[in-house]
Amino acid sequence: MDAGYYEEAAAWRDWLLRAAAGSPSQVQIMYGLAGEHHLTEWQVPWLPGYEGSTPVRIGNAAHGQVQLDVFGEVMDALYQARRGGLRASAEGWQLQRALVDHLVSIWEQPDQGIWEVRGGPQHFTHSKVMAWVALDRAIKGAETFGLPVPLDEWRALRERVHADVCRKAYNPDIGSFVQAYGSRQLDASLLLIPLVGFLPADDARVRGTVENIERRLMADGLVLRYDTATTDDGLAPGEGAFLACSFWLADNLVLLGRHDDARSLFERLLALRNDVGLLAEEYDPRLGRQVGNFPQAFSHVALVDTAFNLGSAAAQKAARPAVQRGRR
Amino acid sequence: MPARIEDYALIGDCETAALVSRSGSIDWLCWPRFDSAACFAALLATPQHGRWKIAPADPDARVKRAYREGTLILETEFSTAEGAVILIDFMPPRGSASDLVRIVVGKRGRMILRTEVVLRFDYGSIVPWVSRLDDGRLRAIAGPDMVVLHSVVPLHGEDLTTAGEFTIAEGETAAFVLAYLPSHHPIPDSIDAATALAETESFWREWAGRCTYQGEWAEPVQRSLITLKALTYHPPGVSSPLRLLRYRSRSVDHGTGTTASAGCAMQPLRSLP
Repeated sequence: MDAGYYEEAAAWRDWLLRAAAGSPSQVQIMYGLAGEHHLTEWQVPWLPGYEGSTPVRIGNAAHGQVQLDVFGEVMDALYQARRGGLRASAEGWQLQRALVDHLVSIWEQPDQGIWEVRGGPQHFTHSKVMAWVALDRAIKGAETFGLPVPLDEWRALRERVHADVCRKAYNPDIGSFVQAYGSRQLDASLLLIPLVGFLPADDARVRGTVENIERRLMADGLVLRYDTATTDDGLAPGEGAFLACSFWLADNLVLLGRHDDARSLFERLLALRNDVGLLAEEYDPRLGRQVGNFPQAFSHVALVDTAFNLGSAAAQKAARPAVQRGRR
Repeated sequence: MPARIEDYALIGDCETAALVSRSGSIDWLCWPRFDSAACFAALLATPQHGRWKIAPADPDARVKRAYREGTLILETEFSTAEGAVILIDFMPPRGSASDLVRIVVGKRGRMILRTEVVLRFDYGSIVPWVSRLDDGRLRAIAGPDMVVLHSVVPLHGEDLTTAGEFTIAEGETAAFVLAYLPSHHPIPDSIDAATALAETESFWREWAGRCTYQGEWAEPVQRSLITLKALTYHPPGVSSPLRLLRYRSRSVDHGTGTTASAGCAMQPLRSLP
């Protein structure tokens, strides 16, 4: 919508409502193209795999995972859609209410987290933050558009989730938010804390998190998702820098007023695009090549976001920080 | 040996997409939908698992490529001391069939090119039955899938491959149209490549022209938006962004599997509300 593509935004919103329609307890982190629920994973034994990378799998078993962050993503998308002027339906609002009611009953459970790790459920910080986002956007939607909901109850819960995260996901010894409750690991998804409006970028805890990530979670100036040697994600250790997360760092730098650093990181990332402007999911600095999903929507979405953030920061330099996603 | 992933470019018709290497080989295409089985799967295997190559006979030809501005039309320029050609690859917005169009245009001198079409339905496993229609087009059929190839260049079969060699001089063009249809459908006339090119160009130009971004990174922003649009399954009334190929690997020498999946994950949508 920022770039003027309202028709696409409306089509996607409608798709989302159709896909997620049904019992809120059955909402999935991903669907098939037409909203199919079963994305059965199977292996193709006769294909040797990209550069011998076996096995070749079709489908995605992660469709059955529980990820709390999905609720935040959905509620945020629907809230932004309404703010952007897309006509909302009564049915859409009913679905959101049902999703919040379901979230209320499950937010304290561990989940698989944004990276769809296969190492077993944990209390991932990003998931809890996104549970807060779900409540926050639902409350804002109700406030802005005068929708009838148990506002006091929702506000109290939003406060509780916020306090829970600040208490259990922040490690004062390290001076940083951590990957999961009680963990000492860093995680690039923590860069979303200020971007979704959970805490301001200049909050000391957020600042500390950004500094820790810059110091300990980077390779060759680019951001890693997490330390693959110490995070049990079901895969062998070692992976490239994650491009979307590197764009998020640039967004954080914009919010912190470090415009020159943000700009040079952004231009570094632009330089990684291939000869026709495409980005994969990751970049391997050691081998100097792109790896992972290709082309990767996640990376290109992040690129567009950062371009807008840098642009609005330049326009308002010194006046106020760039627009945060959650505040748009 | 397939190319490095970043040596591929994307073309598509908003219902599926193909990956084209710098050497003019289409090494990945699921047809007719993003989540259909691939009929070109060389990316994950060998040329014998399906691909369509159009390239100079001279393996040392220089390669330069770019999208036509504001479009998803790929132009690969091959040049040697003797000549230069541009290979134009695109998939037109979908009509009655889904089409993959390749046009070779002579820019300078003369060049000998070769084309090789290896069709393997169901992720490289099924060798189709290939026959020639009365109008000269080739039809490949297996199970539910059928493709029809219109070529101005004479093609012949060799080792389960359809191949041809041709020369393009400055000012000449050679067009190829590959159409997908369910195998029980009647076969329509092939679309006209030049008309399809003009229509596809105006489709993307119009779409890209709607972008309201006015900052200093117009080119990367526009290219990213076009890529996102191309990765979005979008028959009328449907829209679900996805990732085309999920190559999950920790590093190239430490691969942990390749996943080809098409589906909508929530996360890519963070800020395209």
